Amino acid sequence: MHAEAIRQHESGDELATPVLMALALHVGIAVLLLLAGWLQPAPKQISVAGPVIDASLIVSSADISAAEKTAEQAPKPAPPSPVEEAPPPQPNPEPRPQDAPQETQPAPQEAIPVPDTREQDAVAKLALEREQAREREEQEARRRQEQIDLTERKRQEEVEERQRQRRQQLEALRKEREAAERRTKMEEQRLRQLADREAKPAPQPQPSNQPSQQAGGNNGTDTDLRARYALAMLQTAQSNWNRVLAPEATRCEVRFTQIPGGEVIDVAFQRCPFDAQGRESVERALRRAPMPYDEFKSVFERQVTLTFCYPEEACR
Amino acid sequence: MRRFLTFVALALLLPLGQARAQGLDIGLVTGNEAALPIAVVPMPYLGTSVAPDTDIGAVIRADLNRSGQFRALSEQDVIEKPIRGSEIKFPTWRVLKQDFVVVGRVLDNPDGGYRVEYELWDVAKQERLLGLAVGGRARGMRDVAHQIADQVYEKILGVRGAFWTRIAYVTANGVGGNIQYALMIADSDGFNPQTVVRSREPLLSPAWSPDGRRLAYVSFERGNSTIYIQEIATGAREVVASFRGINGAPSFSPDGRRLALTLSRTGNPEIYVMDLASKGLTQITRHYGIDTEAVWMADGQSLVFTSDRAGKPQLYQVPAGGGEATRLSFQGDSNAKASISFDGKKIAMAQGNGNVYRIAVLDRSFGGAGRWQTLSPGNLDESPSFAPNASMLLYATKEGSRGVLYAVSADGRVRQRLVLADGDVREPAWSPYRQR
Repeated sequence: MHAEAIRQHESGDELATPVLMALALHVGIAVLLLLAGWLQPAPKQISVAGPVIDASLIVSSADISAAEKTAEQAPKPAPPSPVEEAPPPQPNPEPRPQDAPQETQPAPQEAIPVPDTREQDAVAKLALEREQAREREEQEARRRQEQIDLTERKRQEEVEERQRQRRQQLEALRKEREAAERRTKMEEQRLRQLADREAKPAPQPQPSNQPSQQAGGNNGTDTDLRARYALAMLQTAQSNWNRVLAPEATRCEVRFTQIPGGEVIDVAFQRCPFDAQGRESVERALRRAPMPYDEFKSVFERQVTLTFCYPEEACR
Repeated sequence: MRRFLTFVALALLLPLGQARAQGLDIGLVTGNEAALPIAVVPMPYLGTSVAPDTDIGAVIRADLNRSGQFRALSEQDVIEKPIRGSEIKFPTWRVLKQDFVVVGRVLDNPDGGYRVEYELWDVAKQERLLGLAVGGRARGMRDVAHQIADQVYEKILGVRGAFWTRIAYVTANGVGGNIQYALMIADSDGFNPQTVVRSREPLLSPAWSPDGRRLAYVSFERGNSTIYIQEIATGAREVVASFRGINGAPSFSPDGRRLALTLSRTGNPEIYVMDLASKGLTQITRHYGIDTEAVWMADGQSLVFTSDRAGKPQLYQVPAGGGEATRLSFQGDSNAKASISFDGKKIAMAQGNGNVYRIAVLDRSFGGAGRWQTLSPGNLDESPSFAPNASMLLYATKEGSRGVLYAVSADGRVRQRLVLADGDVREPAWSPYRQR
């Protein structure tokens, strides 16, 4: 509207004069204001004669008490006037119904498609079925794996059983062979005794049947005197050998010479990788105590061979 | 036919003839393991002055027993008391089942002090194995006895004895703010304790130089941890490491020229090797885990240290010039504070399983992963230290609230508490051999 008026005024020549006059009035006021500021006299600076005095405020306790008294006597400031009460709340303007800015819908809205719950159920069911199928498959796989494991275990057990049986057979064979060897040895000894008896028909002193100090056995089958003599000497060496200074799993073959009475007079190392301390221990074992003699005079052996080695399983 | 029978008879008799020529073969002797029985006969004083305070025979007997390798006949069972080899009646010692007999006597030394003349005899062979004299001053007669025990041990076992050696350890006396710490040295059996240094601040980790003349240790007397090396005879000492952070766990190299130590000057505890002449440092480990307690292998080519880089403390080996570390300990929850035997075959350590800490030894003599043996009963056993001949170990443990030291034989058969002064005792370190 204002723009329209200006355009109307601008269009008329008679408006130029008042506008110019208004401008001139404004310029004149501005010039007057400037002149007023320029013509105002400058403020006079006062300079007082005499030295500058430095002073500080000293407050004594008397002053403080006096000030306190004064403060007490001083008229108390009027209590602040109660705050003006807030004006009563204005009633809210009643809502007036507004005119609808839009026209009423000319055509009815299209029907919203209703979700098909039946399909959803079917999908869920399918998923469930798949899940169950997967679980079944997994269980099946697990069962198959267990079956395989079981079969494998059974197979291993069978292999182990077979190995065990083979070991037992081998053990039995070994025992049999040992027994056969012993029998052979016994036969040889019998033969030899027979030969001795033939060579020396004089009666031999029979050993007593009382169990000797070295009695016992090594689970063998030999019962003749010579076998018991060998065992008695072995047990003597066994109880006297302190193996702490000998290396493990190393065979030291020794032949000792004894005199009637059982005293060892010489120890000869045949095949023996022991060091000096180990050899000393072997020699001590053989010389520490006399070898058994009294019960075995008839089968006395001047030279005896034996092997020092431990542990037993590493030396057989 | 007759010729055939003769042939059969000859064939049967031939092996018998051979057997007779070779003698009877009686089979395999597996023996048994036991300490060697030895009788040490009391050695009387035959001089004209005052008899020494030390019972020489008793000290030798105790030394040999402590090693676990010998079982010395107790003095009351020594029924005959020969003082010379010619007086020994061997059947008596055979009956007593003794393998060896030591006889001797104490005489006056013309130069002052005493002289012990002794002989070692093999009972079975009735043969003299040793006949020596050892002299000493009145106050040094325990040293004389230890030297005789060493000579007997070496003659019979072929390994140098380690009885005439010393041990270093730290004691703490007092309670609360009045605890006095002391670095001590004593004979290997705990007798003759002497103070090396005292401090109101903790002292830790004594380590012997290979010549047995100096001790490196950690002291907190300057506030922060500082590593000193101290001359035992003169007491003179020098600071070798006082860097920012931890300065700990010193260990001399076998040639005595270098010192392995733990420093955390870069923020994390790492193993360093210091050249003692130039004080130049070489960083050996670079790992975010804690690396500490380095000790040298016997050849000086590598170090064994404790590290928690795998989560819990375990032992690792690293070249002495630095490089990749290899884990050594794979048994037990944790393994720490290694001590290495002179031949590098055995590594002792404090092994933790749950709340129980025992001394375990990894024996690598047989190759492979080695054999493990536990030497102490627990529960809080720590700081193992091998004797220079690896026949025994020292370790610290707790009895009640008090720390005590035990010596245990390398096979674990004999364990003995050392007689030491009162107070809390910890961190033992067995010296090298003494200079003869």
